[in-house]
Amino acid sequence: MSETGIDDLIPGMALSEDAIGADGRVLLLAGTVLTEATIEALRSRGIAKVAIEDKTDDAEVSPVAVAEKLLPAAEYVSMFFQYADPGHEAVLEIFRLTVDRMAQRMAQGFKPHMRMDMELPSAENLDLDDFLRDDGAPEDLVAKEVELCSLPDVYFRIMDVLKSNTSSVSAIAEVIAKDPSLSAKLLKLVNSAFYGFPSKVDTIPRAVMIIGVAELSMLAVGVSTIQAFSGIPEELVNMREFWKHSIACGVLARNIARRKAGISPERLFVGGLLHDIGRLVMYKRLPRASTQALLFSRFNGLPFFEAEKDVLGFEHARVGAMLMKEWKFPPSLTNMVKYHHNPAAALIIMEPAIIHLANSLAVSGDIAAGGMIHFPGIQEQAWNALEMSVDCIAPTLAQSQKQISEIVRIFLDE
Amino acid sequence: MPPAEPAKYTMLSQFRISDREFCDLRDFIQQASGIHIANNRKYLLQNRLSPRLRELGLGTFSEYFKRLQGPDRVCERAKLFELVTTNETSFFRNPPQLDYFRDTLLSAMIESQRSKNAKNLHIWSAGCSSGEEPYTLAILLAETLKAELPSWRLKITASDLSEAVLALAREGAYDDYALRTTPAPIKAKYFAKDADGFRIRPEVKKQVRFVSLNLNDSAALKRVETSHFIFCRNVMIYFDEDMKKRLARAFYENLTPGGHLLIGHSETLTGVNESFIQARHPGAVAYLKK
Repeated sequence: MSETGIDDLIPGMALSEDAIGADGRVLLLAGTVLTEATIEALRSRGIAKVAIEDKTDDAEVSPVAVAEKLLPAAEYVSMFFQYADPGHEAVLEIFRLTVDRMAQRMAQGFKPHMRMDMELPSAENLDLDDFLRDDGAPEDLVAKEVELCSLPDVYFRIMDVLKSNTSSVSAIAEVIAKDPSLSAKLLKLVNSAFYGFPSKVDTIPRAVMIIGVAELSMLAVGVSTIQAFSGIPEELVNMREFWKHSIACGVLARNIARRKAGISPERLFVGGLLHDIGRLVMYKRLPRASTQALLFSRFNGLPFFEAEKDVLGFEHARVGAMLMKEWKFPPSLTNMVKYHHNPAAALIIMEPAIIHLANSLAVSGDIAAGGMIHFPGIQEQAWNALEMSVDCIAPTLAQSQKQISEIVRIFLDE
Repeated sequence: MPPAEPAKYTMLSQFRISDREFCDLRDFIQQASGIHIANNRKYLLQNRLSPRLRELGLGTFSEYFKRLQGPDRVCERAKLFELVTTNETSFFRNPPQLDYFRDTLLSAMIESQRSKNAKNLHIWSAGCSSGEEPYTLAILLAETLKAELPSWRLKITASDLSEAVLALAREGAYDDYALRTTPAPIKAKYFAKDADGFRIRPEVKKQVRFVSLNLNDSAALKRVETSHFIFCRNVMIYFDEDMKKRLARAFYENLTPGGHLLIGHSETLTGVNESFIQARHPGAVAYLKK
């Protein structure tokens, strides 16, 4: 435990003691993992310092200490696995791995709260929704978004190059090089553990040559789309957490795809990166109904897409795919997003099935990190189509861990 | 010592519901409470009820099903319904709708009652859960009528299916979370702070009468006295179309002409009941009985 000043707090730190306001009220409970929003809330209430758990990410904990936490960890994690089939081999394996990680964290001092009504989002101060239930449809959300949200120019130029049959290394390199921030991110990505090249790739033309014209273009499209989404109220959705989940899904999808012949790992990475963009549109245009869906999900053990269907009448995968169609994304990418919760409905199941599994693994990672979201399950048809052994799940997760944190740094911090 | 290996999986997989058991239980829940459980929520039902089976020392869902018909059926059914729906509530939930209610609908109703020299009002909070909604309404009435309050006959009937939440509601004790959307002056005026949190003041409490009521019981619905307003927010979301239609019809019959039904922020009566007239306001809709 250490006292940490308000200006030194960073999201991800956990409180070791309750944070108490000037009036003696408990503002945040011990064990709360800080987010940008909660740090701001502390600041606005004049809190100068709080007690923070010692940084224990890499701390050595004894196997016995971890084993002692297995039962409480299983009890906690099972609150978030109510929707899934506990008889399914993949669900069981993911549950086991999530419990292991939670036990590890608990042995390091993390105290999850066992109540579902903690850290609830509140819609009370948000803008009114664009429309109430009867008065609009997903089409209206997408039309508004297309009208208001402009994709960066570089996006359209890359799409042009991709569509032309003459797409050459120099043509795509030239387009990307015109956007310095995009170029920098792509170079960092290419030089990260994600690729693990033995020597440094220091120019875009070289990156295009090594990775491929189509592949690097695909990455550039993904990265430039992230830039297009901003201005969503932080009390509603923590953008950092949102993109962390999306990056995790992308990395996992890529690593699953690498086990399959004839599938472009880069396209799967971008599919994972963008799989939830429908949720961003819904948060922006229907903040109150979206918050209600979130609460309904939390309290009824339902994954988001199910709660959205109950509360709003449609879900984010559909909205995301509609937006991508308007933006003229390649149909294969749009389909991954559209069917990520129901791969069996897709004409060709493989790519959506990969995103489906990657998303479930990413959610399990969120749960292990203390996120209060419900595991969406594994669709039987999707799992069968993947022809994966359950024994591959643990290594895929382990392999992805470091790549995820590295890409989070590249995309969100630098 | 590390616990035995299988122990950590018991949370997930101790009880299995067969397709047959699921259908029986699903149909029973629907018949008894109107709560609809979609087929893709089979595991959700299994996982939510498993701890209860363990508590009762039962081995299978068939045994549990028998218990729902046995001597303890009343109590066990109540437990079951609590486990399959969890309503999140807080005080002063959905302010745009409450503002519309207070500033427009309620003041017009008060005016109309005054002019008829009938200073009485009845509000029905259907699906009141742990009491946040009916107490909020009682506070809004007190804030609106102010000094005139004692000269009015006010009654709020708050109903719920679950005895457990009604007991909480009658207790009237809440923590910070339930009050997170309550304006500070209201909190100070209508709640007493004690060691455990906040307690609703007796003068607010006495306005509310809590009753156990199954919204699927048409005879019981008919016995509720005529209302000027009905609040039924985020309850119908659990029901199938047929039940929604029956309930909306019952609400329509219960309301006095000129009375309003208010439902959840994302709910609609379109396709459910066309007798009501929609009264629209930015961010809120109310349903008027002509």
